[in-house]
Amino acid sequence: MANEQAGEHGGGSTGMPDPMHQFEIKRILPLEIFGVDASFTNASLFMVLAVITASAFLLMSTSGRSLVPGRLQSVAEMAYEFVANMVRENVGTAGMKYFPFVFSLFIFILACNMLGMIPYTFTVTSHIIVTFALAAVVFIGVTIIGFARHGIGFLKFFVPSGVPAALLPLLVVIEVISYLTRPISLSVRLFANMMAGHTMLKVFGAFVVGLGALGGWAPLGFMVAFTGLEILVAFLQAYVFAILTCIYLNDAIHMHH
Amino acid sequence: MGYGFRMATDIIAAVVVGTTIGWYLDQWLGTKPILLLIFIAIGLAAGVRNVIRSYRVMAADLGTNTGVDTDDLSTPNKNDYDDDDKDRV
Repeated sequence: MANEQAGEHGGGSTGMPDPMHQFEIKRILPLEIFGVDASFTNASLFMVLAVITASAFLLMSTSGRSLVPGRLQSVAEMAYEFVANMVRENVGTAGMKYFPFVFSLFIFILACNMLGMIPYTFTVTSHIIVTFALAAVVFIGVTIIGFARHGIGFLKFFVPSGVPAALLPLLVVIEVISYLTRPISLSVRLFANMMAGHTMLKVFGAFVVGLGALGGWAPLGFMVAFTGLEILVAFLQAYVFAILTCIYLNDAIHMHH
Repeated sequence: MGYGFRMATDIIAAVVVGTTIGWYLDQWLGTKPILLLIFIAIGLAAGVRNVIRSYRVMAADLGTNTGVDTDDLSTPNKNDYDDDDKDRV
């Protein structure tokens, strides 16, 4: 499967395209800053495209600002309402301060996931380093918010109440590890879903070509259904990322006490 | 939707974090396998803790059909998670 030579051209001696070929990072503009490889890659390109797409869509749809919204404007309003309700329900009104961040995060991940659904594009969120960077921003940000709001008292978050003193040290360690798990589970969830889905699509696409006009219809039918499912997953994972950000914000703002 | 996968990553990530911490503490303190083993166990415990938390969120999402009292979860402003603490003992 990990045939290097076959991977180079997405095909080759094995006759089967490499399903992992789509995740390859290519340098578009090689660039080195202070010895660090900061090349503009296809991943960077699609992140920029996601930002441009999302900004263009929101700017265009809100430029009219009619009282009775048109098609575009109502989609933008739905997105706004969706995230605003999510923040309000999960964090409460105190969390509306952080609404712009959650909204940007949701729209950015959604745009990345959806751009990845277009054939021949690159799915940024199928790389663990991208999702981990996003999760680390959420994790560090939420921790800072917690300490800024509660001061050193935020450490009480790790101390469960009503526990015998003998068990307390063990439980505090468990709580701290459970807290440190957040960025990892948050990033792995998004990355694994996107990567697995896109690999599946490629594998079944290869089945269609491999089985030809005779037997290729069954995997083709499956692929049509699976593409629909992937679009759902692309939306769902953006939603899950945003809602977990809300839950973590809620923990930081109203500590479990 | 996706709850099973969410919980699976919760457990796996916690074990990974516990193992990593144990590994580096061992390297640092020179107590080769002991802390690693202890922290794998603690990581697993933290993973189960995560799953319990995720389950509460899931129960709140899905409503009453999971048989869990979700009143305290639907209104995060109320600040009363006493129920949560009793279960922990």
